[in-house]
Amino acid sequence: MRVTEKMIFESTIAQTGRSRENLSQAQNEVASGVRVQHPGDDPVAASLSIGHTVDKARFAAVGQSAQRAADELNAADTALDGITTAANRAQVIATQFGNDSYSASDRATAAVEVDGLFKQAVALLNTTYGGRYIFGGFTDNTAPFSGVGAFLGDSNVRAVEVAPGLYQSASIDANAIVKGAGGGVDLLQTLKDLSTALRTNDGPGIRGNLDPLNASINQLASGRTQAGMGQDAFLTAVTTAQTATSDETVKIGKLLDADILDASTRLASAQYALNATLSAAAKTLTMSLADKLG
Amino acid sequence: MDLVGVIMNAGEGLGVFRAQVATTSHNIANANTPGYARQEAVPTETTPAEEVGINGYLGRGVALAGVVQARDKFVEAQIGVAMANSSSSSAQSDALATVTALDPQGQGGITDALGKFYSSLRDLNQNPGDMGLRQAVVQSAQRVSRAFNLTASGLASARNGIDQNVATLADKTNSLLAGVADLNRRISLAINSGRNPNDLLDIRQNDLDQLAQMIGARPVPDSHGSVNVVLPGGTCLVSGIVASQLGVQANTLNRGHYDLVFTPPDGSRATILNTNELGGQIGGIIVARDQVLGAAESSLDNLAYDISSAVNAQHRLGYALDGSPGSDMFVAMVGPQAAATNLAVDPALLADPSLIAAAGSATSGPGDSTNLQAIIATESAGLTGGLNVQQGMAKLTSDFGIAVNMVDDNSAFDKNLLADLTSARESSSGVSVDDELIHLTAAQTAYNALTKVITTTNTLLDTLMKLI
Repeated sequence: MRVTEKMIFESTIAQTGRSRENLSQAQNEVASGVRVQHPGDDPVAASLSIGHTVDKARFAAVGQSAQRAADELNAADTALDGITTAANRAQVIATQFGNDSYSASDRATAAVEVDGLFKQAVALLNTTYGGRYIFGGFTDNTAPFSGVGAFLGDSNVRAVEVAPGLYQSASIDANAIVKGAGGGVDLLQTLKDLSTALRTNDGPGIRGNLDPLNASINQLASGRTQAGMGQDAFLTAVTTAQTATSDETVKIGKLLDADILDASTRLASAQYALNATLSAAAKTLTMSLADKLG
Repeated sequence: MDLVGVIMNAGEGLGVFRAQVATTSHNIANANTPGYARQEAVPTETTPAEEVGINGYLGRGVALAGVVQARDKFVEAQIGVAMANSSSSSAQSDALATVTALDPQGQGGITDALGKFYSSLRDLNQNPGDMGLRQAVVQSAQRVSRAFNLTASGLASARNGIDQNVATLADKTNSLLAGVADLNRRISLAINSGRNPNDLLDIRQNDLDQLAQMIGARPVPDSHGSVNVVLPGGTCLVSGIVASQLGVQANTLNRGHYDLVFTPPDGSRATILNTNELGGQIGGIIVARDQVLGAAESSLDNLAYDISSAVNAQHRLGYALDGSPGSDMFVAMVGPQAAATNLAVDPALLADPSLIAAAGSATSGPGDSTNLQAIIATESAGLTGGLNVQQGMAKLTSDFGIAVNMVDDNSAFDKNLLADLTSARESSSGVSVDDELIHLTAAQTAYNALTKVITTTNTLLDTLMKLI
């Protein structure tokens, strides 16, 4: 093949351009740590990364919601624990002052303590978390229990995701657990009845509150079990979501990030190739018959 | 032959070698001129020879047969198409490489915004009565709108930029078409008067190369030395010495993007040239604009329309914080046309986040988020075509990426093919300075030898004259 100087020039330009392009690409990958910057760099990886990016955001959001739900159930459990303590104390008082050896004055003094337990229970039932009354059901913007123990909330139970699209109860139905809706015992009414019986020195009346108090304590235990199980479920969801978020991050990295070792090797190789191209060009371009002729 | 004849023959030879030196000089001077084909001053033996004695012939020297160009017609026939294809795929590749609107990791991109939108809905599900969380949902919905708006704007801007290139290239093409028509006239005149207009042929070849690169036009030679210029679709742009005109015209059915319009020399019957009639840079960038970017723009619009419609439909089924029925979360649109550009959060919702219809009942309390959970479920629900939001976005990215990838591959292939053909053409038609220096030395040596012949013959004549 006849080779002209122009062919050598153009070939040198093309080869140098290619070498510089390879060098630039490897340099960008090493510097940015990103392999796929444009969908055209790797359409499959770019497309798959969309799904993983959305999944990552979804798992992160589910994890955060689950953590808040677990915290809220923890607050509910703490409140129910306090109410259970109050109910237990009321039971002790009912047992102790059910004995007719106590005077009317003693029982009246005990009634004052029971009134305090009642107020304590109402206060705990009006616990807020994040500005919401956690025992109000969907009616969570006003105190669910009045000063006289009337329930002003509703029986709805909120639900929060433990996995994308899978919901778990995230609140306790105080109407059932405390007020005994659906066939249970109304703890607050029992405390009020106990107080009245103590105040009126009504021995049988005092003793008659022992069973309802016992049933109420069982109801509270059931509520605490629900809260505990819910917490467990949400904490498991938090762990699962965190693991899934990390997995998705790794997957995205594998798809889009540069393999630094590979990119560095290619960078070194591209540097070597460019150096060789330039050396070859420098030698070839200076060779001309014009220099040899006199 | 007498001695004077010998001197005259030598003189003729000097003329031939002078022509060879001049041609070499011309070749070296044009060694880097685009489209230039090296020339050769071809010597030929002067005939008839002088008959002397019995069957003896004395040669009569050398004459210049002509100055011819070294051209490989076989390669030149292929190179135009290769140039058109390479320009087309390179132009497509360059146009698409600059589009960053669909970059997978782009901050503020649609994927990121959609992820944050559904995250904010999940946060609100935790406490649906909280005005701060409601405000966050409105802001994330705005972010989704803005991401769609910006992506649509990025694609539209790329398409608009291509429009400007189409207009500029059409002007350049017109200038080249007029140039070829004029060169046809001058070349025909030269050929009809018996001359060989090598340099005009070079200039015309260079113009034809540029036309192939610019619009994919190919030359069709006629028998009078002219070339007609036709598009891949058959439209004749130059017929002999008459050139047509190209122009641009906004197409309202294609979002106002330019069509290329062909106007015949008499100014009548202006017609729109279809994409399949075009090649080269103009054909390539129009394909990139209307097929790749146009398809991405349409897919984006469909996605914006589908997502906003799905969210709106569910949002309308819920109830706001005050128990009023839900309205649209995003401004309702009649169809996908320009949906990504026009996507916006409903102004009423923007002004009052309490209108977010999270509740499933008008009478339930502020903690009711049953409808919100149904809105969250739109994230995984099948939209038009059966794909969900994430799959729709992934398909859009994948379709665009594959198109770019294919164009890049085609561009690399076309570039290699063109490089091979250009190399082959350069090999036969290009100027080698080394060759020319050798030709120069050969002509110089012959010239010097001939001057010696003249000197010697002159000495012989002097000797002869002294005898008188």
